[in-house]
Amino acid sequence: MIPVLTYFYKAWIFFLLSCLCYSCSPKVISFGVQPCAHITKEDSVRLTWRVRGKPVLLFYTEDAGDDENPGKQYLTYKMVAQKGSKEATYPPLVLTLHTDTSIDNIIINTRRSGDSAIATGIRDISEWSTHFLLDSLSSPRHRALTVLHAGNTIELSADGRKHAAPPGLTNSGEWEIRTLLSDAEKKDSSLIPPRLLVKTIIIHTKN
Amino acid sequence: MLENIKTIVLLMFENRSFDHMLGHLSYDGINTKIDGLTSPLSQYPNIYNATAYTPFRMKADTAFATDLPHEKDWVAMQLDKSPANGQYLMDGFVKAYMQSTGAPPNPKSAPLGFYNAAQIPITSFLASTYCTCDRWFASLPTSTQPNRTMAFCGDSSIDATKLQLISADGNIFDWMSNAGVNWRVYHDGLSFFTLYNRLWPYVLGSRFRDYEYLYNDFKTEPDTSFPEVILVEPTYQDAPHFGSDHPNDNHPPLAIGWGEEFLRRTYEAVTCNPMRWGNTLMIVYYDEHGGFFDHVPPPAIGYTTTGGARTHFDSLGVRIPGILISPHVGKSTVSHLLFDHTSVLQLLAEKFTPGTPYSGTVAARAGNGIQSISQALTTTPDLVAPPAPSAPIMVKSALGDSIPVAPDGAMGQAFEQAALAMMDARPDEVRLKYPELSQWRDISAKTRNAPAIHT
Repeated sequence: MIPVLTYFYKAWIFFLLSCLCYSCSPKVISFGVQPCAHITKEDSVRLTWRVRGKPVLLFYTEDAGDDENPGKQYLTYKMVAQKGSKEATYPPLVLTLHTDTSIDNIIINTRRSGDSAIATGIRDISEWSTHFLLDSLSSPRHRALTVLHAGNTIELSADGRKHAAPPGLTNSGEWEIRTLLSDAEKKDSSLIPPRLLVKTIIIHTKN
Repeated sequence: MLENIKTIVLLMFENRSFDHMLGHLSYDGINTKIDGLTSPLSQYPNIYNATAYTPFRMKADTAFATDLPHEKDWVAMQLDKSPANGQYLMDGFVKAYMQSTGAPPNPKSAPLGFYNAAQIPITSFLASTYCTCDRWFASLPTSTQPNRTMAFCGDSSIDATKLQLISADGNIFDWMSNAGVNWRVYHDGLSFFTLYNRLWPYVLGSRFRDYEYLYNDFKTEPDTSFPEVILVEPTYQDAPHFGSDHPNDNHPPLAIGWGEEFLRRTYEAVTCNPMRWGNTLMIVYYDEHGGFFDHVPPPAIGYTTTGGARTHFDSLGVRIPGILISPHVGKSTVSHLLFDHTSVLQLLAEKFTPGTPYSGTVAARAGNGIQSISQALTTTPDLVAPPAPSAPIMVKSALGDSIPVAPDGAMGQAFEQAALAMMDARPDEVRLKYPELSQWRDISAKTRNAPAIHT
C-alpha cells in the first residue's frame, strides 16, 4: 500500500508542477478582427484579443499593388503574448485595403455536369461585408459564361466585354458560374478547365 | 560509379515542401534550371471562398504561430483532385490551413510563404553548389510516421501519425546488418527510431552514437571501422526537451535557423577530412511537406499500407527538398529524375547487395518509374568541398529580438579560453568527454570575425 501511495504522491507532484509550468507560459487564446477582412480607407476595424501574459500588438502595412489594383495594400496585425523571455503568437490577421474602385476576381473550381462545367462557391459575408457593390462583370479567359448571383442571371460573352451589374448587387454571397464544354473537352475530360473566373469591378459604398 | 562511394550519409529533416524551401532558387535567378517558383506568382492560385491566394516571400525567419495540417485528409484537400478533369490542382493548401486552424482567410497565410537565400543560407548554398533534386516526392500523401517508415523500412503498416508504436518490418538496420554493412546512427536528441519498439536494442546499442562525435569520427576514425552508411538525426521538435536543448529538425512552428545551424555542422563534419570526403555522398531530404505549398502535382503511383485497415493512397506525397552533396555530383546541377524516399533504399541495395533489390515493394516502385539515387551521380568527381557560409546564424523572435545560435558575451569568452586551454593540455580526454569541442575549435576560428546572418 505504501509504495502505491508514494507513487501517486509523486505523480500528483509531477502533475501539479506540469500545470504550474503550463500556466506560466504565455498564450494568445483568441485574436479577432471585426467587421471584415476587406476594407477601404473609409472603414475602421475593431481588434479583440484574449491573452495569457502581456499582450503586444504588432502592425505593419505592405504594398500589395499589381497591374490590376495598383493601390492595394495589406495591413498586418500580429498579436504576441509575452511572459519574461517567452513569447507566443497567433496566426496574423491580414486585412486587404482596397481603393474605392478596384478589380476583384471571383475564381472557383469546377465540376462537370452534362455538357457544362459548373463552379459554385461562396464569398463569405463575414470577410467582405456588404460594402462592396458590383459595378461590372466580364469573362477574361475567352469563354462565354453564365453567372448566377443573388437571384440574378448574367450572361458574359467570350470577348471579355464588360457587362453592367444589376444595381445594388454586392460581391458577397453565393456564386455559380457555368460554361458549355467544347466538343474537344467533352471527348477528353483532361481539357476541361479546372477553374472558372469572373472579373468584376467593385465600388466601395459606405452603408 | 557506386564503387567510388564508400560512405553514404542520410540526413532527413521534417516537414517542408520544395517550393517553400527551394522555390527561390529559380524565382531569384540563382538556378533557373530548377523547377521552382517563377514569376508571376499569380500562376499558383490557392482557392478558398472564391478567392485566389498566391505564394509570397516571407519577411523573416520567425517561428510560425502553429503547426500546419498534413495528415492524409488534409493532404488530399491540399492536392485537390479536380472532379472536372481528374488532375491534382495543388490549390487547397490555404483551405486546409484555414479549416484546421479556424483562422480567418489571409493573403499571407503560412502555407504559401517561401524563404529566400539569406533566410536559409546553408540549404540555399548546398542546393546551388551541389545537386538539387526537383522531382523528389514524399512516399505517401500523409504525415511523418508513415513517410519515415517508408523511408527506413520500404513499407508502411500505418497511414497516419498518432500515439502508437510502429512496426519495424523490413527496417533498414536489420537489412544492413544482414548485408554486412557497417552502419551507425548519430542522434542529436532522442532518436526517431525510439517509436519502433523492436528497434530499441539498436537504439540503446553502440551503433547509435551521440551526434557530437560525428565531426571527430569523420576526421580521425580509421577506415577499418568507419561506417559505410550513416544516419544523422536532428533533435526533434516533438521529442522531449530539457534545459537548453533546442530542436533543430525544421518541424513547424520552429524557425528554420536552428536547422540551418545543424545542417552546417553536419556538412562541416562530412567535409572535414578531404580523403574521406572524396568517397562520400550526403543526402539531405525531408520526410514530407508539412502542409506547405508546392506547385508540382505528385505522380499517380499508388500504395496500400500493409497493416490494419490497409489504406490505399492514389499517389506519392507532395514534393520535398532533396539535395545530393558529394564530389560525385556535378557542380550546381539539377536532377529531374523521379525520386521518393525508397530511392535511397534502391541505392543501398545497388551498392551493398547488387542484383538483389531491397524488398519486393521497393522493386515494384522502381518498376513504376521511381529511380535510384545512383542515377544522379556523375563520373567526373570534383574533390574540392567549398566551405559553407560561416557567419553565425540568427533567428528572430516574434517581437524582433535576435536569438543567437552561437554564444557571446564575457562569460562565453571565458568559457572559450578555458576550453581551448584544456584541449591543448589534455587532448585525448577532451576528445572522449567533450567531442563537440573539436568541431567548435576548427570552425569558430573562421567565424569569429564574420558578421552575423540576420534572417
